Amino acid sequence: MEWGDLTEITLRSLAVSLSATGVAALIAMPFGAWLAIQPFRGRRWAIATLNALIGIPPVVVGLVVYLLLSRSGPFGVLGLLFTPWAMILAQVVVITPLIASLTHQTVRDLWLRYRDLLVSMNTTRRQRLAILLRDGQRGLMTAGLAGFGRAIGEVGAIMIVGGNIDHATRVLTTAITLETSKGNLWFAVALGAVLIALSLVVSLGAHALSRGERRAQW
Amino acid sequence: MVRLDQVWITRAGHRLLGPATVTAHPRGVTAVLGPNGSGKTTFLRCLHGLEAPTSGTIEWDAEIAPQDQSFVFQKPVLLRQTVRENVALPLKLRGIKDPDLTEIANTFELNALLGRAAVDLSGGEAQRVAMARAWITNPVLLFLDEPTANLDQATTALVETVIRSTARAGTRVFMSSHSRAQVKRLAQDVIFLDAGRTFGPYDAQEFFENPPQAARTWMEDGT
Repeated sequence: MEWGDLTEITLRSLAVSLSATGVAALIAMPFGAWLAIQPFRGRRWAIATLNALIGIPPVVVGLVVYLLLSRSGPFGVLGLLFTPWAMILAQVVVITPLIASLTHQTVRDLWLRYRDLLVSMNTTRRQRLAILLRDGQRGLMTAGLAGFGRAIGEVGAIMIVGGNIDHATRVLTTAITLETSKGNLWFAVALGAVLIALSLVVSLGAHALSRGERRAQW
Repeated sequence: MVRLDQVWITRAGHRLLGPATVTAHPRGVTAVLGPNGSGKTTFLRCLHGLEAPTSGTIEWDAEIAPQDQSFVFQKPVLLRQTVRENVALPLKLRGIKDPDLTEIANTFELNALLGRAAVDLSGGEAQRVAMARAWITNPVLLFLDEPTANLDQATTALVETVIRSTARAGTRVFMSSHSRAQVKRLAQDVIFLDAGRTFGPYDAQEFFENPPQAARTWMEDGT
């Protein structure tokens, strides 16, 4: 691998993981919030299952997504296997339970504080969710960053569904794996440093974009 | 008129309220009096619909829509937003995007605080914000749970003035309080609670001139 390829795979890593985090957040945050405020039969089981799914092995996720997207699978006709789309899909599956669980915890804590007020004000479920998600933005940002951190450091699933194809699906983690296997240890270490730096930059950027610490009661 | 018939509220085997049997024709301010732990808060929450009775029935003769009621909690609950956003919240929930807060801010002396973050307020300031939020919809029915418990003398006087003028304007107020002096100043009727059991309602003046048997021990306590 040339040093010139570094920019390309860094940008691809960022694009894939940010996309996956965005999609997962759109699914997980409303679901986690809903789970916190909506009583229903079996909710405790649903929460326990969600928490258990946080630890789902990415390799297994990669295998399942591979089977679904492979030519003989139900979605093979879409031709997504070994594309960044398949990598995004696999990462979404891996990080959605994590973001949903952290969202649930954040919203549940707020709901315990606000419940009487919001019920007293005769708010609709939609209004409650909007208020809780707005006031819980600090916790939600942490959930999003945790999801992004897991996505960008993930290798098992995206190796299976992406294939680590040069100039197509190679990202930082799969490149590190490849360079290590080739014995290019210093290059692998450099890629690792880039990966860590990327994670830090995204995290600090998210904090800088959020409202002030004092105002949001961090 | 509100009628409670043999209402009990229990939680984990503990009685929070009951037996509560009251027929009240609220006029002005109805004070809910009683010692600590007697069930005053639970009684108010039950009237407002925040607590469902474990048994018994509650009937209001005129249907008062939930949006025509407001509740001020003893410990103010404010969103992590500015004072302005907290006060305007009930109106925004009704689709009013940029409500005029001038009058309500004047009433509760909040003009200087409107731009502040609610988390930066003192306890007394937070309670005034919570009250302004409850008052801003001009409720038909207002529940106040020890509204002046954490306020200084000057703010208590301000709040009492507002409560009095609100009641005169036709809002029916249910208010729990520890302070007999405050109840004497504000209330037309008194409902007394002791260990979850309700007594009354009594005409406030009669209650203090000739306390019912159930309230005598507490009255003699002198607090």
